[in-house]
Amino acid sequence: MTSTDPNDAAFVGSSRDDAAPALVASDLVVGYGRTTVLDGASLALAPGTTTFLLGANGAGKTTLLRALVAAAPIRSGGVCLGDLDVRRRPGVARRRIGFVPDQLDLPRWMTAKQALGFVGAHHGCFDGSRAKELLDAFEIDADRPVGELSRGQGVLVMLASALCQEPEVLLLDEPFANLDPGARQRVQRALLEFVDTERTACLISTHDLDVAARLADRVLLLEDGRVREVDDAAVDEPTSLVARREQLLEAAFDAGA
Amino acid sequence: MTNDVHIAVDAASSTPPSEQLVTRVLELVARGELAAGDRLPSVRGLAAAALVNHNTVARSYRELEALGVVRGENGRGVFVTDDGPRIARELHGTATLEVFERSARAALGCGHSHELLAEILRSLDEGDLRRAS
Repeated sequence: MTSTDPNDAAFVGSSRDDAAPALVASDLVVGYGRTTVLDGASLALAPGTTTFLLGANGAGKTTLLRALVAAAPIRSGGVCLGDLDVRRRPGVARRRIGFVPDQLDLPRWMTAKQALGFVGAHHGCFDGSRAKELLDAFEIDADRPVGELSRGQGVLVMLASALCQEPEVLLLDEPFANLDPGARQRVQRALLEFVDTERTACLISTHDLDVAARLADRVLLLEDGRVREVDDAAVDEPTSLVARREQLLEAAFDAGA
Repeated sequence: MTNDVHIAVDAASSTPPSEQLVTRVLELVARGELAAGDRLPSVRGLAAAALVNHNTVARSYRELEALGVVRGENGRGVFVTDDGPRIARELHGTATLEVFERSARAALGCGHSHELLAEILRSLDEGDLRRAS
């Protein structure tokens, strides 16, 4: 339904796609040795939106996320964070992009509290009081060494750390894997609130179609080294979550077949 | 404030989540749990509570506004209109009757007698009266 009522502006979320993209990747070609993983991958992430990235195992989802912070060998193509050329100034870009890998990437002997303090000390803007709130919200024992946490909990500590950096763009690699149902809900809630209040552009790679069907503004599919849009909640007719999940499964499965 | 109202989405339902939210709000307004002038949860708040995308909530609020049940006031939020309770009772009333007819038909179809159904209705009614007194 389209409405021209001026009161429409009260419904945040209705016209956010009009904003200039926070991050644009164009024609990325990325490879290791003789293997080409990305072959002309392009995407744009709008502020305040949640984009999901689907793709078969080995399609290159992790490589794409890493390329967006210039942490993969880019042969050609570009990544722009607003006006900033990420390939030219990766250090500056890394302070404005939150990147959460799919496994623990913090010193294992540090407690969660120490780890966040350590990250905070290296960042210009880091909201320390928020760090404690987030660890509480994620039900993480802040005084335990992160090496003793489960893999899912380790990801939560890194997510908390990324959110505290108040990033313009948030890149999450399989954040829902290895989480129990309660933790999955808490993470989804934290992400929804964060994306909306901070207007962060969020890209989430996942195999979890249930979460994608519920939360996604847009769904992208990575296949044959390129990115294709398969779903846009702002323009598509509303379908049931079951139907949307089915449709995503079909798009992802056809790609793998 | 309306943070205490429970609005959830059934992921297994064949009804689109935005329609589920519309139905749920109509029900709450029809039953008086949300009265004229009450504020609905913010789009952000409801999205986080029901674990759905903001577009879904925004779409359902637009639909409710088109029905005349709520009105969005710039910057202040979304409120139940003065006519909201009447409209919601009509819409929700029609919907509940349809569900009742379907269930009654199914019950009759599998062999329950009219008398049994009438008896159930009477006992429900008496139960309500007892609770009310």
